[in-house]
Amino acid sequence: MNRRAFLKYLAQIAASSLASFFFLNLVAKRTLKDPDPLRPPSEPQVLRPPGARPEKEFLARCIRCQRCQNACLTGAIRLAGPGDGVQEGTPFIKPHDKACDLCLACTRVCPTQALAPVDKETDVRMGRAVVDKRLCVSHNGTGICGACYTACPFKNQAITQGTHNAPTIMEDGCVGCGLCEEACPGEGIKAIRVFSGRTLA
Amino acid sequence: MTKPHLQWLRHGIQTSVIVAILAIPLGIQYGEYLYNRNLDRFLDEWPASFQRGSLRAIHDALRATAPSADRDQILQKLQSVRGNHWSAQILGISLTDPLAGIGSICASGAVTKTVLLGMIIPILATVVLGRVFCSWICPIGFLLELTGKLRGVLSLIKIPPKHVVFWRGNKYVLLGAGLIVSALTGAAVSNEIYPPALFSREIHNAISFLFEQAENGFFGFTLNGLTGISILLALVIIIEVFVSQRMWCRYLCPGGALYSLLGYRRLIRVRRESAKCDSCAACIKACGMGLNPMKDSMGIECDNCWACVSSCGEDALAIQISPERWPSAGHKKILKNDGKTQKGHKSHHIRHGRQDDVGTLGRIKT
Repeated sequence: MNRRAFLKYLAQIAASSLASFFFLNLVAKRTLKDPDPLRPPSEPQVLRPPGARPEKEFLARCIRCQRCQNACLTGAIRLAGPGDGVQEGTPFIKPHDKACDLCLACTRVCPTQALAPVDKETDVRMGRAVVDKRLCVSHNGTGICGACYTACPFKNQAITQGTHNAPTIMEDGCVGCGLCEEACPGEGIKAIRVFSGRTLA
Repeated sequence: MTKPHLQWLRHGIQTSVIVAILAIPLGIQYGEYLYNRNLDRFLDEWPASFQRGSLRAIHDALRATAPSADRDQILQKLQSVRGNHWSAQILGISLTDPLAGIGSICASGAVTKTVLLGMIIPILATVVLGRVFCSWICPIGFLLELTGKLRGVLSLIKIPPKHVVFWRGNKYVLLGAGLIVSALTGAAVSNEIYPPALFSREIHNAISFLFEQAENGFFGFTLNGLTGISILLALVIIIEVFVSQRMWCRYLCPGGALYSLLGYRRLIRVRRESAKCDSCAACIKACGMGLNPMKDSMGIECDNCWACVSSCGEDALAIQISPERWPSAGHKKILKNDGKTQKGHKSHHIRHGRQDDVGTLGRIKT
């Protein structure tokens, strides 16, 4: 290789590296763009599947392979497309439409442990349910419901009932599966909603 | 004698991969309807449409293979294959694209057993066979091969497509830069720019959107489920047809770069017997990677698609099993009647043709 060819080679490497780094940094910035603020409580909440690691680590580990979605027979796990408010291609659960039934199949199939293995159903912490006492018919005195209590897999550990079946969430017991939110007959905004407490990029 | 059956075999495997990429999301939809909906009702009530037809086809196929299976057994059957070619679990065997695994490890700094075990088979296959993923499995490679045929049509209607040549080292730089950026920022960028991975994601998006539409009573064909990924793929295809053949594969693909490096000492190589070669350059035309099989050293870029072997009319190209490259024998000299030695007519064309396409890294001799 003569000097001229060598210099040309160096220039190619330099130009290509510069362009690559610039482009990939743009992609990385887009991937890790400042997390959206928590969804306003009036919007249907979005959760990560059971066992999901903290958001930044989750995004680093997740290879968008769809295995967790394929393992989810209930159809609770969906893959984010544009407009879901979640990083595209990553799995999420919208309990408003379809809640997790805690089969934990997804945690077993994740190859990178972005969804860490969970031993017991009670160890799951996807979020926590919050009752909107103004909307809940049992709380505001317009009816007697109890749908959330009936749907909850951990009765009296995660949720208790008072007069007129008015629900109260017990913070230590609630795993955030969202079955109560799915079952809530409230139209539009549900009276019981699960908040993940994480900002989803 | 040309050997087209080799290429038919290859295209058959590529087609079955595409079919699998389409079938797995449909099978998952079927499983969902079987598990928590009344599948038979949907099969009866839905009008004739893609959605009902695909559910029905899967239903019949599963029934044909296991007539007496109950619901749980069918679900188990459906669950035995999941994921896509980016990372899959097939009959209990975990497979992960090395680029996915290494990208994830770089971004998160965490190594899991499943990823390491999953990468063993692809890495071993690449070490022995070379860059075969690109030519035998990759759906984008197949798509670009097919759309590349349009270049011939363009030439026919007097719009000759351009042959822009870039530097082949780009893809190695992109691979290295991607891993470094992943490690620095914690964002696995290869997931977001690697078209084969995006392709299966897009198929999944489109299919789940179609079924969502069906739930709302709309059964027509719609493209609304497509995302920005489609624009990127369309761009790659437009460049393929009009600007530069296999531009993504040759110059930009970080996955191809990784496979090339892994296949540095591959066992399966294309060998030329210079005595039989009549320097007709058919192999150079056939090579999708823009290499020159007549140079005897295609280096690490060769993806063992054997298009050159198939195209050779003189049986001069064969598949050898050896980590060593075949010693270069040069072009066959053709002795003319007047005793003057000169090269074959067409070899002249080669020297001024696409040889410059073989960039610096393409010349690495292995």
